[in-house]
Amino acid sequence: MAGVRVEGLLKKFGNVTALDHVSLEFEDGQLTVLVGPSGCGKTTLLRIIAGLEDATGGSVFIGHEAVNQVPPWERNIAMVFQSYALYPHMTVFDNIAFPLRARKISKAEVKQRVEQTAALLGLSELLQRKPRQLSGGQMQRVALGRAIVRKPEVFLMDEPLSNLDAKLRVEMRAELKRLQKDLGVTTIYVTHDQAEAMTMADKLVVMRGGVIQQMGEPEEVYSHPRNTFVGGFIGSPAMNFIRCSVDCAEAELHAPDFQCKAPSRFVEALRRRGKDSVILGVRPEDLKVLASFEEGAVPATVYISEPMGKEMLLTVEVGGALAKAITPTNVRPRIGETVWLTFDEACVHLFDSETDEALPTE
Amino acid sequence: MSAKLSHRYRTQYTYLMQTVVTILIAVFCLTPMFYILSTSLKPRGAEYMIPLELWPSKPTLQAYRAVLGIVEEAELASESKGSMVLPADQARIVKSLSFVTPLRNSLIVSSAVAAFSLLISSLSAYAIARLRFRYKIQSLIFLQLGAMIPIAVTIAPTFMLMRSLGLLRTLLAMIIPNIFYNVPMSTWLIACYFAELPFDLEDAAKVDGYKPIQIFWKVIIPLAAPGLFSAGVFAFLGSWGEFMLASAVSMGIPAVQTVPAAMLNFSVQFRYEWTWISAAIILSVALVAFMTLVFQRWVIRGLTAGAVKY
Repeated sequence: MAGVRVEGLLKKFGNVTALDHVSLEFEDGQLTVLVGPSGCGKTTLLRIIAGLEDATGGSVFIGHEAVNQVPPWERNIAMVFQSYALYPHMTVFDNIAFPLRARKISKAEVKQRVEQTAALLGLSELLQRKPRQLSGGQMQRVALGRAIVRKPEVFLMDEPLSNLDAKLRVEMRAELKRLQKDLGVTTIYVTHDQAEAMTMADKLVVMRGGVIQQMGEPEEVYSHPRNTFVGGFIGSPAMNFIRCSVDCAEAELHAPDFQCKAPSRFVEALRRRGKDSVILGVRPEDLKVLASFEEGAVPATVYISEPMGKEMLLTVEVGGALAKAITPTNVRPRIGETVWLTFDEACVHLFDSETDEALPTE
Repeated sequence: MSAKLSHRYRTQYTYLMQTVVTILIAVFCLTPMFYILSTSLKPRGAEYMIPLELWPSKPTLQAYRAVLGIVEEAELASESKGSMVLPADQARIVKSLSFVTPLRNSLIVSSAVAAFSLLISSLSAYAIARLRFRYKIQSLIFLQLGAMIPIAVTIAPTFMLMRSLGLLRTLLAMIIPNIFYNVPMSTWLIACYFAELPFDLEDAAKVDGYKPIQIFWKVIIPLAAPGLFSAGVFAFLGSWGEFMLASAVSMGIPAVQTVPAAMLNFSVQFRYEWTWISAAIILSVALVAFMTLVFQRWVIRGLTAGAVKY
């Protein structure tokens, strides 16, 4: 097993920069999730690590070895593809055995290892089937089996769960994470699904436009997003943003419909910055919806309410924009009704209105 | 109600007309073939009998035996009373013109052409369908331009080329040019097949530890088998029926003639022996007709690859 490191990785497709000098370390034995919207460069980064794509500049290290010049078939990595990429003309057994056969492993050992892997993944009964006779979940397992059977140094997973239905996806998510912990193989996992990213990652890397926006433990990224993009991307439903003007003297924020005290931890930064506007960010789960006025509450009009079983997702109009709030199901306001919003100042995020960067706290 | 009826009536009428027209076309196309088959089964001389027999009252394989060179002198003698040619000579001529050699030659030529043009065109198709390189479109157009030149135009230069290579009067003089006549079409057919295979499969095989040439043989070729197969059938049938080059380079030597070239000789030599000529025609068509019937579904699949997603 080995860690993976990329340094100053640059990738251009014609005039388009897919990766803009990305430097990143994937620690040995950890599950690192690359997350971002489509076109952010996460798959490109994965393919460069696999050797399927050449970097325009920069280097890739697996363990301590620079592998830029090593073709994919000589890098000891395994990859799971979004499409599974099972060989349609081979049985499940042959699919799983395929990487072993490339390594000239004896027939007996191939058989033993394939059967062991199949048992681990619950595929023992399906070994003689062809991929077209399998369900999506089974194909997924075969693809996983093909990756783990050869005991690689690194697993690369490119949105492996995105073709599964929602229920199976949640099941497989947990299973995959457990499998990774059991095997302890360095894993780089690409997804555009922030929930998948949050739940699975030891370390989360948020990307946009070929640039790393933030990396860290999921909780850290969630509670301290470095900019509005990360704040909006991680967490579902997305963080609410309201543009406010700043009254430095009073340490107050003024939105079109309401005003509130600036959280004390930001006061110093607001003063030093001296700009007169800021973006206020509050997560829907941090917004409290009240039926009647309370001190400091902000009025809002209910736009739509979406019951989700254990809670309710409420969309309200506040300050000329729509905001989302998660409320308990016992609060059931009707469309057009006025409700009152409050939030704990400890949960508030402030971002620079020009650079979108989070303001520093004390 | 009446609208419904008239609609049904019209549908039935259309169906009837379609059937009638199809049958008429089939009859038109197959009548000569049927008459050749019937003639080939008649005893020698019976083809001149009036009234004409549509189907022989006593079908015999005599003509086939003669064409395949398995005749006895005595048999010929008893048949050809009053002939100018002696039975012994006639038997010798028949044996020398036996259709076994041309059939064997054609089989060799067509199989070799199919095999080698598949080998070459699967590689070129792979490059066209899967690799990125400069002047790709231009080289594809260039390749297809080659296929547009009528064979008749190239006969003379090909003949001279074969002569300077010392290959005249050999099967190689038919095999080599025919391979190249077939490569453009085969490349096109196979490339359409390759283009449909997902790139992920190749990428998966690469990280699984295989080099590109191994991936070509272990993943790409097995998956494109139907396309390769139809390209192979096309090459086979194309060179089976090729006449001009075959008759030019074989230079009238029976030992190296393929079926179409031998057919000409045969029909000149035995221009009154319609049962024999008919049997020879049936023999030369039988194999390809059989192949077409058995493999037509595959061939059609190969031809329509890339036309629609399925």
